[in-house]
Amino acid sequence: MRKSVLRDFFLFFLPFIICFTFLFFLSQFSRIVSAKVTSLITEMAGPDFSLGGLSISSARGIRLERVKVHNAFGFDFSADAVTFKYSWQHLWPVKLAIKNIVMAEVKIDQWAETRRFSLKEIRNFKNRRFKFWGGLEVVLNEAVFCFENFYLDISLPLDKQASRELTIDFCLDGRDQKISFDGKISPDGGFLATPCHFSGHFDPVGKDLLVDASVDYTEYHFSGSGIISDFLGQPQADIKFHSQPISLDYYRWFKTVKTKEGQVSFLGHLTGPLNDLNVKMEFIIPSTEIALEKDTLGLDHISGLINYRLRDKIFYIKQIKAAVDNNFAINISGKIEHIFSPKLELRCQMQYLEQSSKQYDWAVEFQGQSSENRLAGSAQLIWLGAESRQYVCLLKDMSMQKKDPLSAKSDFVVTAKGLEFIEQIIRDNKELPLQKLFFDQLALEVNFLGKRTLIEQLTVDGYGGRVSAQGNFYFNEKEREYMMDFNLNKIDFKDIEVFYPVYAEVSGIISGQVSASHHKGGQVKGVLTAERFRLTHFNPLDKIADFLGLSTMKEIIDAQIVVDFDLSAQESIIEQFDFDSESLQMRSHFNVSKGRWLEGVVALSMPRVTLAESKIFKRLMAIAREREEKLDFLVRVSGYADSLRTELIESTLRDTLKERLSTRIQKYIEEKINKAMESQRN
Amino acid sequence: MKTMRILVSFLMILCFEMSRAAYLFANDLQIPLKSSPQIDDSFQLLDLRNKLQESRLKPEERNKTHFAIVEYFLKTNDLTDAQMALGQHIQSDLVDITTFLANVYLYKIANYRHDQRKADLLKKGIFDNKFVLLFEKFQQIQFTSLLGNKYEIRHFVDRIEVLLNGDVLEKIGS
Repeated sequence: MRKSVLRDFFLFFLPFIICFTFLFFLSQFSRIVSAKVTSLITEMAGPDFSLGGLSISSARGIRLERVKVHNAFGFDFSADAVTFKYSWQHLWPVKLAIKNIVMAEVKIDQWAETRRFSLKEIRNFKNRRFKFWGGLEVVLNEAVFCFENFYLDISLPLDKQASRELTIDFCLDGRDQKISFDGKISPDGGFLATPCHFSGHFDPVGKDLLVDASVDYTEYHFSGSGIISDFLGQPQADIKFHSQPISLDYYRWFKTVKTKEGQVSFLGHLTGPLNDLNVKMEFIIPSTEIALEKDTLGLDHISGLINYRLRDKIFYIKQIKAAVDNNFAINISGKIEHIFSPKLELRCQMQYLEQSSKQYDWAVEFQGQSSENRLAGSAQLIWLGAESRQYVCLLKDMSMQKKDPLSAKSDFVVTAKGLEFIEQIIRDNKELPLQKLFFDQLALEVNFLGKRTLIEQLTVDGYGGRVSAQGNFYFNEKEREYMMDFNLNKIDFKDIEVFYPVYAEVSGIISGQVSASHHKGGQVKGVLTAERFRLTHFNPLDKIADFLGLSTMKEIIDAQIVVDFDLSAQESIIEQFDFDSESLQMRSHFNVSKGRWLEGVVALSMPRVTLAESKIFKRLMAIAREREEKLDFLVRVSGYADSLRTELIESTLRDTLKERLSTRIQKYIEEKINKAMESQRN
Repeated sequence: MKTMRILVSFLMILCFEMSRAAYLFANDLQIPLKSSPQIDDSFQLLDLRNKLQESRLKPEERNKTHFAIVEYFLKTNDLTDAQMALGQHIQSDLVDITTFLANVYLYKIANYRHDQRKADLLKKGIFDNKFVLLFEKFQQIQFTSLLGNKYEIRHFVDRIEVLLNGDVLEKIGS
C-alpha cells in the first residue's frame, strides 16, 4: 500500500520533475549558448563592438542589450536593446530566418557631423546574410527592421538651431520587391509642434531608386514620387511632390486679417545631388481678401516660385506675383540668406494693369538685413516716367523701424545717411544720367493706415538747406490719389549740372513751396524763388551770345528768379517765370497744352550798355539813334518745347529800324539770325 | 448642303467685294493738282518711273521725281498708292522741301481718315524747325514740282499755311 502510494506520488510528479530538469538544463544551455554567442559576436565584431548582455528565448527571441558600435558608417551607434525574432527554416543546413528586428532607445552620435549613410545600404539591406560558427546561417531577407525611440541628431532646413535631436519611430520592411518605410517623428516642443508622420517605399531598379513617399504634418499633406538615379554611385534626385490645398485659416496671420475664404497649394521639385539638394517650390493662392483698417485689399492670382539650396541655405525668390485690387500687379524677386536673421536682396516691381507698355511703373530694391521690427541697409525707389525717363531715389545707410514696437499701429521711422536723386534716360538698355542730386540725410515718419500712406514728416538735408514735406497717398481699385506739400528752404545749389532740355551749370539759393497732387489727374503747383542765381554753359544762350557778340550773356550772375507754375496732364500753366539780373530782366507766361504745344509771351529788358557790346546791335542802335538806357522786347514763343518759334511782337528798336532800313536789309538780318539758329540746331 | 456652302461662300465674297468697293469709292479727297504740260498725261507715271531708274540722277532730282509720282497718285485720287509712296518718300536720306510737303500730305490724309494719333505725330514732325521773326509776319518758301504745281509755304510763329497753285492746301497750327 505504501509502495503503491509512493509510486503514484512519484509518477504524479515525474512530468513536473522532467520538465523542471529540462528547463533547468535548457536555461543552463541557454546561458552557456548566450555566453558563447556573446563572446563569439564580440570576437567577430572586433574591439569597436560592445555588448551588455544577450538572452535567447523561444518566445521573446534573441535580445541583445546595451549594444554599442563605435565608428559604424563613420558614427557611433548605441541601443539599449536589440531584439531579433526568428524562425527555424531548415534543420539542415541550420538556417535562422530573422522575422523582426526591434531596436529600442537607439542613439547615433556625431551623425550631424558625418552624415555618411550611403544609399548602398538600401540595396544590401535585402540581401544581407551571415554565416556563424557551426554552419549557422542567418538570413535577413524576410526581416522587418523597427526602431523605437531612435534619437537622431540632425540639422533641418529652416531650423534656427544648427542641429536638433529628434525622436523617431519607424519600420523598414523589405519583404517585398519594394522596401517600405513608415514612421513618425515625435514633437520636440520647438521645431515640431505635433507629430510628423511619414511613409513610402523605395524600389531599386538597376542603378536607379524609385521613391514614393508622403508626409503628414499638421494641416500639410505632401505626397510625391520620383527617382534617385545612380544611387550606388553619385546619387541625383529628381522627385516631384505636391500638397493638398490648405485653408488660409491655418495661417494665423491670414486668419486674423482675411475676409474671404482662400486656399493655398504647394508644388515642389527636389533635384540635384543628395548632399546639395535644390528645392523648387511653387505656391498658388487663387484669390483672397485682406481686411485693412476701413478697407479691404483684394489679392488675386497669387503665385510664387522659390528655390532653396540645402547646402548654402539661401532662398532664391524667382518671383512672387499677385494682382492687387485689380489695379496693379506686383512682382517680388531676390534672395534671402539666413532665414532667422535674414540678409535680404529683394526687388519689388509694381505695374498698373491698364498700362501694359511699360516694363513696370514703380520698383523698390532693398539690400540689407532684417531684425525684429527693423530693416537696415540700402534701398532704391525707381519710377519709370514717360519717354524712357527713369527717376531713382537711392537711400544709403538707411534703417526702417517701428516707432513703437509694442503699438498695433503701423507707424514707422525711416532714416538714411545719404540720399541720391538721379534722373536718367534709358536708351538701348543703357542708363544715361540727366540729373544727379546728393543730399546728406533723410528722416521720415510714415504711417500705414489701411490703404492710405500718411507721410507725417519728411525732411531731407543737403546743400546747406532743407526740404521738408507732408502728405498722403491712397490707392484702391477705383481711385488713385496723392497729395504732397514740399517746402524748400534755402537749398544752396553750387554748380549743379543740368542735362536737359540742354546742358547748363546752375548755382543759387532756392526756396519755395511745391505741391503735387493727383485726383482724377496729376497736378504740380508751386512757387519757387532763387537768389544769387548763376547760369553758365547754357548752350542756346552761348550761341546767341556768340552770334550777337554779347559775351556778358554767356554768364548770368547774381540773378533773382521767381517761378509760379501749375502743371497737369491736361494743361500746364507757368503763370510767372521772372528773371532779374544786371544784364537781363525777363517776365514771362506760358501755357502748355495736352499735346505739349507751348504758347507763351516773354518780355525782355536789356540795358543799352549790355547790347552795345555787340557790334551788330551797336550798329543797329546807331541807325535807330537809340538813346534809351534800357531796351524792351516783347516776344511771342510758340511750338513744341524742343522746336520753339519766336516772333518779336513789340520793340521800339525794331520799329525804328523798320522805318530806316530797306526791306532787303531787314530780310538779310533775319536770314542771318535764322541761319545761326539752324546751325545751333545742327 | 453643298449648294448651301456655295451660296454662303458667294455671299461672303460679295460682302467683301462690296465693302472694298465702298472703301475705294469713299476716297473723295480732292487735291487740285496739275499735270505736267511737258509729259503726256497717259504715260506720265511710266515716264516718271523710267526717269527714277536712271543711274545718273542726282539725289535732289531723284527726290523731285519721286515727289512727282506722289503727286500723280494724289491727282488720280489713288490714296492707297499715294500713302505708300509718301511713306517711301519721307524715308529718303535726303531731307528737303519735298520731304516737308510729303509730311504735309500725310498729315492731310491722316486727318481725312480721322487718325488723330498719326496726325499729332506728323504735326510734331512738321513743326520741327525753330526760327525767329524780327521784321516779317511769316517766313516764306516757294517750290515748283516737276508736274508744274506751285507750292508756297508760310511759316507763322504759331501755324503753317501751305498754298497749292494759289489755293490753301492745308493749315497746320495750334
